[in-house]
Amino acid sequence: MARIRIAFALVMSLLVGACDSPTSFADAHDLGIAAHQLESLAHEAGWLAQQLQSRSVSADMAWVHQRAIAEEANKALRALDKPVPPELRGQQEAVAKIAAQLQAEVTRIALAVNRPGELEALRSNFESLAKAAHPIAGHA
Amino acid sequence: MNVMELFLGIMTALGGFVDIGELVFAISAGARFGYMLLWAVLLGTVGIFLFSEMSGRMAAVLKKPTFEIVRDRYGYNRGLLILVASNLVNVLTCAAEIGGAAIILQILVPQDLRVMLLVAAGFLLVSTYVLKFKWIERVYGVCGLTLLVFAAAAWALEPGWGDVARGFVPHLPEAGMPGLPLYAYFAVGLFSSILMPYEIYFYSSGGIEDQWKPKDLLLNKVTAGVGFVLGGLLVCALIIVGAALFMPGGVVPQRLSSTIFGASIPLGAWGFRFALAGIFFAIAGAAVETALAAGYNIAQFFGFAWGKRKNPGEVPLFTLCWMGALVIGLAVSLTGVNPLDIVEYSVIFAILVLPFTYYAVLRLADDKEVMGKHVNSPVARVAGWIYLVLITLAAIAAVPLMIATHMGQG
Repeated sequence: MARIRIAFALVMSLLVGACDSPTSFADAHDLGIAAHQLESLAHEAGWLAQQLQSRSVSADMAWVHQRAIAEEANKALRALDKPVPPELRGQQEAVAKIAAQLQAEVTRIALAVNRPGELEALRSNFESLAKAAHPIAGHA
Repeated sequence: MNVMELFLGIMTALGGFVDIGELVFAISAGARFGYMLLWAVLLGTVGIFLFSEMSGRMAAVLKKPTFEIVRDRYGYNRGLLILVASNLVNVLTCAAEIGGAAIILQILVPQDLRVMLLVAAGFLLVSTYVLKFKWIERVYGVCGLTLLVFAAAAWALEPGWGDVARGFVPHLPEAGMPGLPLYAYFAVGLFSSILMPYEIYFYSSGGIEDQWKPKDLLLNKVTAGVGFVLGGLLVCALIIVGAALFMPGGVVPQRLSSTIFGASIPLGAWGFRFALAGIFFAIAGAAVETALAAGYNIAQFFGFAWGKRKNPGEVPLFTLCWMGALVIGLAVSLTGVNPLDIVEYSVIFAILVLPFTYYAVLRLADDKEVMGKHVNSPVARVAGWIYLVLITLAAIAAVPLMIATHMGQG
């Protein structure tokens, strides 16, 4: 019984440890993960704009999903809210800029439901953001 | 054997096979590794068939549900620990499913998410309270068949069927794909999401609810075999959608609403509507199953009256337990946590509980003195032990993989 209790406590502490590893510095790998998430989110925002334009999804879906994308972009950004080594500062700034831009632009999708031209422009912006994130993302 | 009953049994097993865990892990696995993890679905599907059939057989022959078997095998103290861990997984899964159902409702009726969470939980509570067991199974299972839209989407995407076939043979990730730890994490996640323990608790309790007798053993075998194999094919379709649509599009789904694109892009507005209906009924059905499984487990362990075919007044403690599971699930979702984050924890945590539950089931199904002529066949015995080893290895690897991959992020 004691062994089971110890094993259970060990598993629980590992799980708690996995929840939010308190790393004090963000490294290139962390930057890569955040950039990869943003690249994926930017592609997804492009899909949403395109699907709304073709009326394959409803405007209510756009409201719900654009908020979800904005929240995920914010989460990716918060994960990088840590000091980085000097040689990575440029990349960190670039990732932060992409996240901020994505958050701002994605919330315009549902409002543009009846303006195909604006949806097309947004889609093109999202593709540019994905392209900007790609080199930092690498194979993360 | 009644053909209509068999057909409905297969349809409900198929419709109830996929839940939020499979949706997430299957599409994400396809988006990251293409068709390479199809073998994990095959492995998991054979495993769930094997252990469901055993637990259904014990329900029909011995009238023993899974948690009574667990208590008999491990004794009170160890059994209690397994009960707590199992119900923790049940409640976490239930919370994720309620959160997912609320998101789908929000797409249908634009309202604040917290309001939709209350609506979703209220709907689940009332429908579970009002409907008898058979109708709970049928309503959610048969309506969940709308999820087959993802099979249509997979077909419409015209995947390379040769590549799909190669995915059923395990091999290491190719160049340009994420590394081995992430591959192993998704393999374990897929395997675990298919073998989620609540499926066994619900299946064996369902056998007793449906008053199975030894003459129903063929019904048990065919329902588990055909229903779960078709369910496994549906999970394969989700991986194909991930591989043929999300991977080339550069999208790794991070929210439940992302998965809807899997049907709306290849099939248009009809795909969108069917995906909403399918996801809602599949995950709402799973929420009901997890809540009932929590109630079944507690009632069976402590030996008080249980059953959804009885009136709630006849089984007050059981009714209180499944309602409590739904309410706790609702409380967890009201914290605002992303259901996909919860489901990752519940799927990985579930694999830790699996060996204990499945060991007890296997030992009893192997016991000739108790099972008599219905004891495991030599094939079932050998396959059962091989699976137990695989499940144990997956359980040992699960938490280190979760830490090493930052919960599947890379």
